Amino acid sequence: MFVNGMQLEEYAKLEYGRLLWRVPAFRERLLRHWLDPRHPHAERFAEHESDVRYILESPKGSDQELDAALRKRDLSLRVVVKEIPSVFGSYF
Amino acid sequence: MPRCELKSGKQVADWLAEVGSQLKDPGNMTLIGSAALLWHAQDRGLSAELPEASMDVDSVTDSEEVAMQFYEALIGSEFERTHGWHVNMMPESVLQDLPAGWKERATQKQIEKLNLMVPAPADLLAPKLKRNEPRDRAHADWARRIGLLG
Repeated sequence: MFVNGMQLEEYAKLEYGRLLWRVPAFRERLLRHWLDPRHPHAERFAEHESDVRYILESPKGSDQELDAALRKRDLSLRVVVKEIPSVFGSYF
Repeated sequence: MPRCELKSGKQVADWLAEVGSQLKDPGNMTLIGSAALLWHAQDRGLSAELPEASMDVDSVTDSEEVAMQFYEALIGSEFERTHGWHVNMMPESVLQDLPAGWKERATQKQIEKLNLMVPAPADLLAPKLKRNEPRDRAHADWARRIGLLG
């Protein structure tokens, strides 16, 4: 099953990331985790951090507008969602 | 490798009680998948275990606090190490895969501040039977055998 062209597991990262981005302490916890040197995608995230923050700050229901805005920069919502790193429970 | 030890409805019920006890504000959760079938079995006083253990509980929420509980129970977490399964956070749109009218047929339970919604067994099985993989058929047979569809 796909949501706006994204697999469920991918879209869940956006949906739950958006939800908890609103909680400052949790936002900081996610950022610490994603930038942790142990995180296999820490370097990649650092390169794409501003785009990931941009989509996580966006409100629920704004996918179409977000995608349109990103396409003006040769990106897309699907491409940026793929840059949201996974969360590894062993050191989150 | 993720642990795969979710077999009984009591495991699901115990986790929900734990979540409910941790919430400071009311929060919603919709349970789907095989964990939801297990929950129904437990709710009806049936002690039957899944024919094949599951590795996760599929859940949906729009509550910040409940979502935080999900993050504590991801693959590789201490929660998974002690419980033998993890939480799979599902987007709300997964509920569109359920048959029309599923909410009217769902069971709703209040567990302290947790508002739990569990679709009816037949509705839970609909997407599984659409997938029609061996494990899905096994869960459908199990549900039928223990009387969840009666």
